[in-house]
Amino acid sequence: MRKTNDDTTAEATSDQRTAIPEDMRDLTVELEALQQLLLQHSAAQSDNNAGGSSAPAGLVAITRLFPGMSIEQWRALAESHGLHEWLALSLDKSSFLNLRHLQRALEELAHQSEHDPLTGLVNRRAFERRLHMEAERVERSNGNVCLAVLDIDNFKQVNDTYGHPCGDEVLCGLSGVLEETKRAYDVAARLGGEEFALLLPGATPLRAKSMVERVLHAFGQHHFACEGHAPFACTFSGGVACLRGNDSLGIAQLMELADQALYEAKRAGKNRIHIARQRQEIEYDRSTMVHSNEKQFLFSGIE
Amino acid sequence: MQQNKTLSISVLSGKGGVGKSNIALNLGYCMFRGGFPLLLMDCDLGLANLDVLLGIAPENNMQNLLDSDMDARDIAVHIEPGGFDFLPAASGVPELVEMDAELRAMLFRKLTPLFSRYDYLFMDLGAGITPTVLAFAAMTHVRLVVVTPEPTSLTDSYALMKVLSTQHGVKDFYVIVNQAEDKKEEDITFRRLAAACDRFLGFTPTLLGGIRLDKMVPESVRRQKPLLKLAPTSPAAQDLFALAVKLQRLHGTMGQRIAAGPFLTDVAGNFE
Repeated sequence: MRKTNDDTTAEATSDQRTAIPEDMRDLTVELEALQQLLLQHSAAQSDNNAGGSSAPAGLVAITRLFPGMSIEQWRALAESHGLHEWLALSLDKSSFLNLRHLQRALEELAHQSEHDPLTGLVNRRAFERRLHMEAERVERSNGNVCLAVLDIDNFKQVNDTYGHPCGDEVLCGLSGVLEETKRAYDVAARLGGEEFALLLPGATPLRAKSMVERVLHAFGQHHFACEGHAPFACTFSGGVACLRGNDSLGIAQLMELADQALYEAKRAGKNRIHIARQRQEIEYDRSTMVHSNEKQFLFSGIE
Repeated sequence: MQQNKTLSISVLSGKGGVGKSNIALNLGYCMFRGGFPLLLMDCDLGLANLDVLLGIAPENNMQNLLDSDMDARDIAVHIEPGGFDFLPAASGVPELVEMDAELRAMLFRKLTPLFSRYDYLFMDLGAGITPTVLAFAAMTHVRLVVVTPEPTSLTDSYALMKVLSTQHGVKDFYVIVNQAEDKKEEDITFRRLAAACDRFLGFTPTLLGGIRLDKMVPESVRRQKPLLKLAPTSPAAQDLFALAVKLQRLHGTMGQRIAAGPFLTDVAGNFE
């Protein structure tokens, strides 16, 4: 439960930090994210209420079970992370087991709703949520993010020739390569069918292209051996589109641009990555450029 | 307002390795011997070399002004007693090469109290057309463009002048032709550059003079001593001395203009 926030970002001393066991790091990350979110929420609330009469106050308790933690350990954690306004309740054995069961079910449902059951990658819904978050960050920080849309080449033929179980192996193969090749903060997703996507925060178009080409190369090295068939390799095509902090492109347009680039890559013969043709918003000053006739004149005195 | 007597001079070239630092150093040494106190500033921030030419290993440099409370007067090194001071820069700091307007303004706010002590301020700029080079060059009263007879040196210095004139409205340059075999080569080099400026940029630079090719120059670099101290009678030393005399005359004729303004002018909002 959380009351008013007085914005105490506790400066933890180093010995307090070390008191937190390794396996609780994930929890602290989660708590910090939640704290941030609630802070934003309470700021938005007070904005809405400004000038108005007292709004109907809701009261909500946000509960998260954490097995294996004692009250003492929580106290140390709260101390080091400035979580004094959070309330920890110790549970007895029977209520804990019931609640733990409920929490597991919730976790599983949450995972299912955001992940593709075959490959384990995030699904389109979760990917689009991440894309929105990333687009907001880009706008705030004036950075950039690239979106790559990938489509396995001739996938229907793979299914027809080798059968659907083998097709599934190819899909899992690509998801494996994506997980291995991407950077920790990139997001790989299966959008549906044989279509995948990769979100590359901070990447420029050229950098994004070379990263996806690395994925393509690694995927090409992968040989699929399905029962009764000779091993075979697959390729994919990709389209890359990027969002910069200063441009007015929306998420839908970004997806469309990446799809167009993918279509062009397919038309150009597949097994390649194309960058979407986007209007360059930053134009450089051509007036200072030294032209060839000027150089010619410098050297020979003749234009 | 206090009257300013300090003439700021930037030494630039576009291309590296044409003798910029050595010229700045020796012109400075001439001024000092003539009884004019001067400050030699290594403005090749990020790839500083003047300390090497002087044979010193300064403890502090301009980087300290940006990340500590140090006073600029404590960073300046006295090379010769009586008015030959040197302001070292850091080497191997890429951030300094890409300094933005805000950081530059901060640096110069800290440097300003130091400047008034001197008659001359020599700024040895880096090669290239980085924002830092352009901003520093645009700020000084006088710009000395160093060229050699090499075609690449000509195009690089021409490109630098083109950017400065189109982007910063700077149209007055003094050219020094370095490492010319003879007077004829010096003439051809200057005339080509001047004709291209006249034809395409709409202004004509002024020839300050030439410095002959002289084997004593690399020797002075090896010995880490100013050429004018090591071999004052060598051809290049005599040419440098002649250039220094011309600069002194320039200082005299520019006196009024300098007196009214600051040490460094804010051109196109580059300096605060």
